[in-house]
Amino acid sequence: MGTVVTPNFNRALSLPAGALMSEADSSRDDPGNRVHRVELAEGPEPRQWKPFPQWASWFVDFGYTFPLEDSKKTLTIISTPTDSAGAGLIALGLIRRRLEAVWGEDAAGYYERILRLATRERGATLKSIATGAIYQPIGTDKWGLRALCVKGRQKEEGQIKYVMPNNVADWQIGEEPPVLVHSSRRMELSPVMEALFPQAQPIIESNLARSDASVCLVTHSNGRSITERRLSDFRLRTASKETSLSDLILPDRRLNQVARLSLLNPRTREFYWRARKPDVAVCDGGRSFMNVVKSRALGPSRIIAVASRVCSVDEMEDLAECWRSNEQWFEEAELPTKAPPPGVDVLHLEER
Amino acid sequence: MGATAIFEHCARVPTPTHEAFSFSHEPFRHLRACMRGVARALGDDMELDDLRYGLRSSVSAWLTTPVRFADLEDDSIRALGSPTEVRVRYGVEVERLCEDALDAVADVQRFDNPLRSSVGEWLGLHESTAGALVVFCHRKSREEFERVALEAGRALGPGQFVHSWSDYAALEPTNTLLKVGPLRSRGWGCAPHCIVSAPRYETLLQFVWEGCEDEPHFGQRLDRSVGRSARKVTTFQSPDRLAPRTASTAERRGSLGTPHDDLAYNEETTAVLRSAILLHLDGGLATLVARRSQLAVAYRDEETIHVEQVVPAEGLPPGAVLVRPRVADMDLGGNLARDGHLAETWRLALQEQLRKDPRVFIQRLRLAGLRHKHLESAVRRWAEPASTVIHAPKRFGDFQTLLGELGLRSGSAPGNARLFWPEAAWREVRHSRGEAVQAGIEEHSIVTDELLKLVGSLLAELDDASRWRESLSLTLPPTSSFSGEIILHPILGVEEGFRVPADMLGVILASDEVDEWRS
Repeated sequence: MGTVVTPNFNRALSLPAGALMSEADSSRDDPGNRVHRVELAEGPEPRQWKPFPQWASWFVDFGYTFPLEDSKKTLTIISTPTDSAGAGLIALGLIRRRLEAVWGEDAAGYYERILRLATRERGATLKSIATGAIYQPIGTDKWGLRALCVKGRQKEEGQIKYVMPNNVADWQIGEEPPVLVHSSRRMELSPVMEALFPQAQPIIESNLARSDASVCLVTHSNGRSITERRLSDFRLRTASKETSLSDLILPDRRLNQVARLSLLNPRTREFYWRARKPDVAVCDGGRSFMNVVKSRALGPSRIIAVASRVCSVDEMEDLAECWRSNEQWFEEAELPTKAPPPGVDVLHLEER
Repeated sequence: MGATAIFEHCARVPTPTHEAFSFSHEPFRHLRACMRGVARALGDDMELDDLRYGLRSSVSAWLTTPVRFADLEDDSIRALGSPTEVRVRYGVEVERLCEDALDAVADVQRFDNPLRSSVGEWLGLHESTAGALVVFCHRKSREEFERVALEAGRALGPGQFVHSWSDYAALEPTNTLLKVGPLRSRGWGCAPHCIVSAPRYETLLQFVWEGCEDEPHFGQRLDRSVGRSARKVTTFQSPDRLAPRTASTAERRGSLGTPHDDLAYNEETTAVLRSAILLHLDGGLATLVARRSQLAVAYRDEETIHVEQVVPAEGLPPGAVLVRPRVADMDLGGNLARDGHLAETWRLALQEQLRKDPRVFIQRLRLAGLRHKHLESAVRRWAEPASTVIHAPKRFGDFQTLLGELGLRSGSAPGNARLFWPEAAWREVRHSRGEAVQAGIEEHSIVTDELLKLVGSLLAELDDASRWRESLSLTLPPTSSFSGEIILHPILGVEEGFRVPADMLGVILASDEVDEWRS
């Protein structure tokens, strides 16, 4: 573990026209830039701002450089000497990387998902993003999927509309975040986010207006609020903006924002809002990892856990046992990431 | 304290020092051997569990606390009774062993404890580092450490003690962590593995008696590279002058052989215990549940009420309420008396005895074989009116003894000629503790699904959400297929690290009664 490898920041990417060039681009040659440009405060008021620490930097880089290209399922446990926002920081790195990817969104295949849902799931509903009216799928014909308005303004009720490949983005499945929003309502790219990734590739602008469930955050086993508190207590600021890790990665669903992350409840093994199976799941805590490692909700996703070693003996023994039992299907492998900071240990298994 | 402080400490002190001081003292070693001998000679009769536990816990406490030898108590040996009583009840061999053990206590009391002296000496020498020292110990050992520190001219504040992994989680990086006893993950004086795998100190100072070795690979479960490199062990054998031997002791006992690991022996003899999680409930109550058991809980998620079975080891939903059915139709005997009916009878008789002459009554219970260390306070608790549980002895044998001394041992239960009075009364106690439901495995699973739905609908009718904050009893409607009630206990906290006999799992007890099963 802990092999020192230069991060692969120069992955070949065919960038489309319109890729964003941020203020961070001008400082790509300064590797220590993040530490100087972003400050961190942990815990409630009064806040004590400090330069962005090395340990947090490592977690962000770990997420950003985590290999996603290989189709093999992997299991990773990052054991830490304390509870931390490590899982959120890894998720942030992964999200940033997905914003650069050409297919880093869920719109492709969305129409097929809606069709599958309409035919397989009784009581499934679609929401018109434009009017907020609720429609119930009632069948398909040569025009596409027919949907009947069951709840909306009086004159809308009983109306039939067609969901077709060319207007599929106007429709939202149940309580899922919209798959695509108008460019005027796209996700705001925080200056903090830009400053955190001074050496990263430019992002693809259109991704900011599209949801992506490729990255999943598995919340703490004692409740989502514990993870949310950890993320919201992790405050970040640059000269122009102050925000929290929570604001950077979790969508504000009241504003019907696009979501670049899905959330999984490890106890019920259900997503907090419907989402496709992720490509990589980051677990907040060892117990979350144990709860979901064999869950069908995650399918063949790569699973990363950030587990504090400060826990009960029973929990650590269970985690060690869980890890050992997986070793029959997986084998130890090296990760092309930087050496972990002192006190952090990385275990990584790859499917045989 | 943020995570950054801990990570920075790890970077600053990548390899903390671990200094271990080992002590030997022949009279003390002999005393330990005598105590072990008495516990072994008592055999494995379950009725004598409390006596064996008393002997074992005395030795374990001496081994993990800087106790003053002059203050060593022989209560646990005397709890067996007077020499005549011991001879009559347990035989001549046990009587002889008890006599030896009492002599050994008296012998040891004449010496200074070298381990205690060294702890005091160290505290005195390092007075300048006051505030940067943290002691890891059992809650009950804390006073002794405070006394040693005061004798050394130093005061230890409440923030300088750590008793569990959750205390350790809140600990800020410090200079020195002091521990008396070996580093083991189970048993008396155990320590959380994070002490080694996630060090928050510069020096780990360990004072340990000979024979009590650290657990191999302690703290190295998943954290292989971190745990392995973090220790530098420096062991000191106490000089002979610290372990004076009396001629009489040496002559009488001869060679004592290799030092014995009493903590490991105690752990072996309690190996039938099951790993459990403690649920702190409302009203000073608590229950221990198996880590992988199914537990019925209710909780609110925004406006939705959920009633479901969860596995405690996988975490409980926030604000969960324990659902405990007390369903008369499910009782296996089918002869359940009205709840609290028999309890009322024996409780009144007990209160009467305590009113007349409590000392005589307690003495009678002791002679009859009730060997609780704090018998008087236990008896007074049993005499208290029932809350959501009937207060009573933990085991049927003790309960029978109590009823016998109250003159209620014979006769049939009212309304059931086949059931004796103590059995019917014990069934009532068990029922109040929620045991009847657990006893019938098959019925349990069938009934639970139906019951959970029923509980869900009853809770949905509760308009006032604030009622969830305290224990609550809901009567099952006559239209349902059960008769009885559902007790809801808000779960105030969850604590891991308990090992408990299987028959005590799921039993509702006063929260101060569970300490003996802390592993």
